[in-house]
Amino acid sequence: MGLGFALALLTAPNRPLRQVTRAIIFLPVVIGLGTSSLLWFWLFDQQVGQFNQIMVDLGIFKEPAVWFTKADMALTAVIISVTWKVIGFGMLLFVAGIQSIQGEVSEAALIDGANYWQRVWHIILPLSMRTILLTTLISVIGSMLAFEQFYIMTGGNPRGQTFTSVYWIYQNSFISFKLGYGAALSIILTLIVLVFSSLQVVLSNRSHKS
Amino acid sequence: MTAFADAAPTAAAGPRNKSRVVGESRPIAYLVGAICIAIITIMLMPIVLSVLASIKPPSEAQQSPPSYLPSTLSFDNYVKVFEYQAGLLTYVSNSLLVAGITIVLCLALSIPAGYGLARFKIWGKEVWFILLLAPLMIPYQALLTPLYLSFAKVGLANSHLGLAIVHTVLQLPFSIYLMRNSFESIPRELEEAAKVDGSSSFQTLLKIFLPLVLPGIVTVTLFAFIASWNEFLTALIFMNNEDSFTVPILLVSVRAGRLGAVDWGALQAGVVISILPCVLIYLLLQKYYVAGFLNGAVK
Repeated sequence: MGLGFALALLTAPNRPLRQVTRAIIFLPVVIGLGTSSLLWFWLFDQQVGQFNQIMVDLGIFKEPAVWFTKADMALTAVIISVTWKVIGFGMLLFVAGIQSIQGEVSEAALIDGANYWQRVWHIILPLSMRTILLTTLISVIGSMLAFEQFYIMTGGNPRGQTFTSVYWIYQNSFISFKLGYGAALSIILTLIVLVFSSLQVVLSNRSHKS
Repeated sequence: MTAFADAAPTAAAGPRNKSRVVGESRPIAYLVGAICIAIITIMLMPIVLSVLASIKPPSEAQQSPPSYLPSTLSFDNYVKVFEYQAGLLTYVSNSLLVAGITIVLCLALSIPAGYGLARFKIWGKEVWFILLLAPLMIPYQALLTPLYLSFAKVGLANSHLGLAIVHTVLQLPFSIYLMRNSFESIPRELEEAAKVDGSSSFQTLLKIFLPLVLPGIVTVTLFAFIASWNEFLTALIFMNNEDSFTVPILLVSVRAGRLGAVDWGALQAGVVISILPCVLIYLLLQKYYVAGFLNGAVK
C-alpha cells in the first residue's frame, strides 16, 4: 500500500517518462493471476529460477534460496509475486486521486512557501485518505479470496500451512468431495467478506458525495 | 502510451507545467528519471526473462544455474506447447470460444439494461440498479461449490457455455454500470430530436445511441475478454475434460508434465502465449482500459 502510494507520487505528474513508467507498472495487472503465478513459480525455482540467480549475482544472497519448503519463505515468495501483479492497481487509483487534488490547492500551498514534502504530508496525504482506505479494503478482500497464487505456487504446502480460505473450500469440495462441508464453509466466507464489502460501498458512496 | 493522461483528470496540466514539475530542481528531475528507469526494469524483468527462456533450446531452459540469454534461438519450446495433448489450437479456441460467448452475452444484456436505467422512468429504478450491482459484494469464489452442483444438475458443468455463463455473471455488474454511465452522458436533446422525427425508442437506440456509446461498448468487450481469458478458478473446477481446458488450465497441466519433471521451457512458452493477447490489447486500447478501470474500481 505504501509502495503503491509512493509510486503514485512519483508518477502522478504527466511527464512522458513518468507516463511510460505508469503504463509499465500497470502492465502486470492485465496478466492473469494464474499465468503470473506460474511465471513466478518458475522464477523462484531453486534449480532453474532466475530470481535466485540475480540475487546471487548481485551479491544479496550467498547461495540460491529454497523458496517453497518453509511456510514463511513460501509466503514471502507469494507476496513478492502478488505485489508485482497488483501494485499497478493501487497506484493508478492513487494517481487519479492525486491528480484530482493538484492544481489550485497545491499552488496555493506553493505560494505559501511549502516545500514538496510538506505538500505531500499536509495536502496530498490527507486528501487521499479515502482512496487509501478504499484501496486497502479492496486489497483485504482480494487477499481473503486468494486462490490461484497458492494453488499454483505452494499447493498448500508445507503441511497445509499455506492454505487460504478459498483453497480450503476447493480442497474440501472438489478434492475430498465433502461438498456439504465445502458449501457450509462457502457461506461463512461469504458472510465475512460481505462485512468488508459493505464497508467498501459505504466508503465509496461517501467519496462520491463529497 | 500518452493515453494515460486522457483517462485521469488532468488538473496538473496547466500552462505552468512545461518542462518540469512545479517546484522541482534539475538534479531531482534526473534522480526521478533514474528511479523511473529502475522501476521499469524491475517490473519488466519477469516478463522479459520469461520470453528469453521460451526461446532457449529446451535443454538450455532446464539447465542449472540458468543462463540469462539464450545461446541460440530456438522455437522448440513453442512447438512442444503447440503439440501438447490435444494441441494448443484446441485450447486457444476453447478460451476464445468462452471469451466470445461471454462478450456477446455481456453486451446483449448490458446495453439494453444500461439504456433502460439511464433513459426510462422505471418504478424503483435506483433499487433495481443497486440490486444489479449487488453481486459485486458477494465473492463468487465462495459460491462455486453450490454453483457447480446446480450446473451439474442441468448439464452445464464441463461445458463452455456453462463457463461462459459464470464469466458473464461475474462481468455483468461492471458492464451494466459502465453502459448506464455511457448512456447518461449523451445529451437528452439528441433523443428528443429523434423523437420529433418520429423514431421509436428502439430505433433511437440502434441508430443514434449505439454509435455514441461505442467507447463504452469497447471497454465492456475489453474487460469481458481479459477477465474471461484469464479466469482460473471456475475453469479449473468446471472443466474436467482435458479437451475442453482453457489456456490457464492448460498451463498448469503443462507444468505437471507427463513424467513428473517440469518442462520449464515449454511452460514459459505457454506463459508467453497466454500473456500476449492481454498485453497487446492493453497497449493498443490503453485509453479504454484505464478509463473503464477507474470507472469500475471506484464504483
